[in-house]
Amino acid sequence: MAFDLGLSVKKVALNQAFKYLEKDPEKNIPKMLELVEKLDIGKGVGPQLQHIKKLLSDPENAWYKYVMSLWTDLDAGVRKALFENFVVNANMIGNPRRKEFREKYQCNIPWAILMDPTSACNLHCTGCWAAEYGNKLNLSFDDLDSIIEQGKELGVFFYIFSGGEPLVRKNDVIALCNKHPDCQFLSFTNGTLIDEAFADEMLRVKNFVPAISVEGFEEATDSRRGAGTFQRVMNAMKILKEKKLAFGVSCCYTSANVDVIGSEEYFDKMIEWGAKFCWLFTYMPVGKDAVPELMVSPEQRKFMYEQVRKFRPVKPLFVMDFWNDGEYVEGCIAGGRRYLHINANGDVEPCAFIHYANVNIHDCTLIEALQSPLFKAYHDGQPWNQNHLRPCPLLDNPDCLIHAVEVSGAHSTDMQAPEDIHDLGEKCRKASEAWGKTADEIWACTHDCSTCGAGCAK
Amino acid sequence: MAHSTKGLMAESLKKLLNTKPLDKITVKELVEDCGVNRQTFYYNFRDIYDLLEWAFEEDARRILEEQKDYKNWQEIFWAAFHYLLDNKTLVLNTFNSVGRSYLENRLKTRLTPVVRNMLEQRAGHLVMSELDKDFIVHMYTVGLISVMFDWFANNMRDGDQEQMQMFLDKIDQSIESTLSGFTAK
Repeated sequence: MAFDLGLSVKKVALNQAFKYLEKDPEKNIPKMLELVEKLDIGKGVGPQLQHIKKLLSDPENAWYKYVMSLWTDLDAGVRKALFENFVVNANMIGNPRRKEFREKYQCNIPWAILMDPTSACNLHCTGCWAAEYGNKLNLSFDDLDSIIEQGKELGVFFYIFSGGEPLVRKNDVIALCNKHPDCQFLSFTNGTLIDEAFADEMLRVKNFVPAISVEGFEEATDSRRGAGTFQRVMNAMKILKEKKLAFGVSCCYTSANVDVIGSEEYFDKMIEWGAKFCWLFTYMPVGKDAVPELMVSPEQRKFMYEQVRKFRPVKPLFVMDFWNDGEYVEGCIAGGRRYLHINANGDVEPCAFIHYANVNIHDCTLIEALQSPLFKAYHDGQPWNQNHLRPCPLLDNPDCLIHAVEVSGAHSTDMQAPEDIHDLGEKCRKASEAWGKTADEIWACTHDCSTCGAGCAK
Repeated sequence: MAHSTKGLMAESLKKLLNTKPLDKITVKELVEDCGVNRQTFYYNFRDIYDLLEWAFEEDARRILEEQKDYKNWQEIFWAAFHYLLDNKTLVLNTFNSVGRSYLENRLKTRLTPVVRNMLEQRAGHLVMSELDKDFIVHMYTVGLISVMFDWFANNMRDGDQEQMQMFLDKIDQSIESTLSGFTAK
């Protein structure tokens, strides 16, 4: 990597700015935003930056409250690590580096890597595919470490663990965080293995953030995940909040629980628990034992779309809905465009929900995986739809995924029962067509009336 | 358990430092030497330097815990001196690969409270600002460190002790005149 004097000057300047910010965030945040603007970080953020400046100058605004809460609610070391790893490393250093490799290799280079340390889990929840994987598969510490070392070379500084329950391997997770202080780590987790001792380890390494799976309130959680689970999760969040550690909530909404997940009561509850972010996933009928009836209807998906947009300006919580927020990221982020998934077997998959691959990380390098046929098909096919409310090549455009898997010759990576891509695609066809109509209406109303046949003449 | 594992790794590092400079030692050979996993190393330490720091801190803590048995600050200094001399090869291998500033910081952190304690005893009856105290402590600490660095640069040769003893005595003698400008409480 060529030494970039400009870059190191910017890095020093930003770290100084952060120190300055620490002294009096309320007064100094607006000043720092001006500095960010002058340094021209991540070219092209100009309009967004103006928007951010406006939001952060109004003490009544939810975003203002949210940003200030990062100072009142988080440990100073944790906050500094988040700033350095996300702002400085993942974006300022990572962006140009990834761009360089994207051009050099003519393939996607991700912003984040999702990987499964293990397929094992301490819970056995109804409908979870992790339970069906069995407890046999693990990526070793050295495997995971090698992926991170390779990733950093390419400009990737954000690593997410899924599984299985990643904290079954909590010592290895902490060891990776400790070895790579320049990276941010996040883990999906059922939260039941977070105790005082682990929270203290999180405080020691500073760069680990859990995203705890909660799917509603006590009854719904316990019936799916086992009696007592909800209280254990509440206890974990209490410990994290007391120790001023950052954490979020991850929710899977289904036809059965969407009313609760999308309710104001639930959003307020997550804020009360101390969550700083919420990641929303819609139920995907992946695997032979999937229950397609749990997929949301177009009305339910539209409900979530509307609720999230209603709460965003008024609730101090950072919410992302991976199927409904494609408009902010130009559609599908998988296939290495922004992220990819490496399962506990080492299969390099385009997405956590797309269990097809050409290559395994035990036999190839990361950059080779990114150039493998299925990833190329993603690179060439994205965005799968011009309507970014229909971003997913499986749920919203099943023919796109069928085509990508066929031309690439990728195989099913399902460890229990390989699933034919046509069978999977068919499970989504009805839902995709139904959502297509609703999504096109919303898109036309929010983006471009000329593509809409409704003739409401708004 | 974690503690003794850390100790095991520190022992291995010291052993390896007796054969080669710090920057030539890899985590791989270290974990092979002490029979732990790579992830166990990284669970506890970021890198070799992190381990070295911990090992020195542990030793320094031990020496200072024995401090209560010493009659005066000169004895503490000599205890540190003999610790360094006993670990001559590893100290020189550290000195030669991480350079001055690393050891300087470590020595400064450890010697400052010793010198400060000495000053407090001698100047307890005087009116002194914290600023004045800090300045005097800094002056003597930096002097001690530079005498030690001369010694490192001479490969910690035997015979330098005499010169060092002279320096320590001069400090003791000069304290009186240094403090003469301050009035009694």
